[in-house]
Amino acid sequence: MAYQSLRDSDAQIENFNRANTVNLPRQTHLSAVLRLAQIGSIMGSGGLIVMDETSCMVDVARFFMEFCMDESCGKCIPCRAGTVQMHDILRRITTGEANEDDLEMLKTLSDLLRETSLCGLGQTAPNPVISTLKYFPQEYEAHIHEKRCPAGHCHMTAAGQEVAS
Amino acid sequence: MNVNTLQIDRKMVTGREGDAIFAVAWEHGIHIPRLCHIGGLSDVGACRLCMVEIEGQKRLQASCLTPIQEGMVVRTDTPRLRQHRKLIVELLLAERNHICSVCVADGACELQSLAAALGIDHVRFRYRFPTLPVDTSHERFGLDHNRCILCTRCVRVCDEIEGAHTWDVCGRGANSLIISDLGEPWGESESCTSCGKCVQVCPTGALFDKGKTIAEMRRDRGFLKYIVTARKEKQWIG
Repeated sequence: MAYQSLRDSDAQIENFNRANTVNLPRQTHLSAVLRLAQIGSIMGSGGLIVMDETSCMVDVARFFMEFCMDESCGKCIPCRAGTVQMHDILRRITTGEANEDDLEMLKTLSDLLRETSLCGLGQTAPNPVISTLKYFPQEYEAHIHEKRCPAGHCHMTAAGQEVAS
Repeated sequence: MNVNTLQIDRKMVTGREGDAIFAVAWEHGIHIPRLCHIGGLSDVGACRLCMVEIEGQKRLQASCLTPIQEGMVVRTDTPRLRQHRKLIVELLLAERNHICSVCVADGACELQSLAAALGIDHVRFRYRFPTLPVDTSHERFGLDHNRCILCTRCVRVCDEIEGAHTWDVCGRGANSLIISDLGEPWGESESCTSCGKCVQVCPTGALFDKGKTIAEMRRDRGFLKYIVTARKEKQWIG
């Protein structure tokens, strides 16, 4: 929804603005207008990643979860074991092996990590999952119900096809 | 000595200024679940099971590390906390090989009794089943990494009470492992005094006496209170 409107027309950008209180007038400095917290993001190191419709949002979430899983120090349990399980669920969604329950568990784990992790890494690890679920739920649903990747990025495995049939 | 009065689970309680919510709650019969805390050792707030809700604060706080304050209103057992605790224990059960039926600590395991108390009858996650070694190089004790929950009680008791600091954690994330010295087998450790304190504080079947078989491992924690009190009072009377 979000990236489609940004790429389509000014009218749709307006729609997106109204819905999510993000203003992106042309020629304006991005940091001055982006209300990051309101769209479920943080400044972090200040990096910006530009994606188009060929990026699969589930795979993007999986990539960031893999990063957090590797970076977790292992001291607290929610972050150490939670990122591993969240990564496993996201990986199974991208291969078509996941079902509706996995999606629910992904949301439950997101809440756990955000609320109980010891430090900022674990607390913000579920952010990419939470915001992709918020802005691109249809991509998750296509992977789970139709065993199809709308971006044409994910390769559905035979095991995934079996789950579907 | 200053005393603070606060409310925990609708019960008015008092505690010494600077005491942790966790300690005050336990003194008054409110048993907040925990796996990394053990009385007499420093707290690390790693297991996240003792998290509580404090009125006026949006974030949950680890009660073992949060000091009490006058007039504080604390809730230790809400549906949200119960759900989080259940999930944390399930994550632990799925993380390594916690198979009670073949464990030395069966029947006297803190992880097992906590899972039972929280009503966990199945694990909703995929078991990871990592392949981890068992170190039986020590002549009296053994270490089974498959049962380890990385609570670091052994690390702390060895450092703070025995003063040997044989144990520590190597690696990070899910690959973390407890190691003796710089990764040498336990039996070859030069710093280990073979006192066995680590074995007594282990909450699961990770550290055990050699020769004990399934469900035979029982632990004696009395020494911890004795040593800590004696050092504080400077009196060594049993």
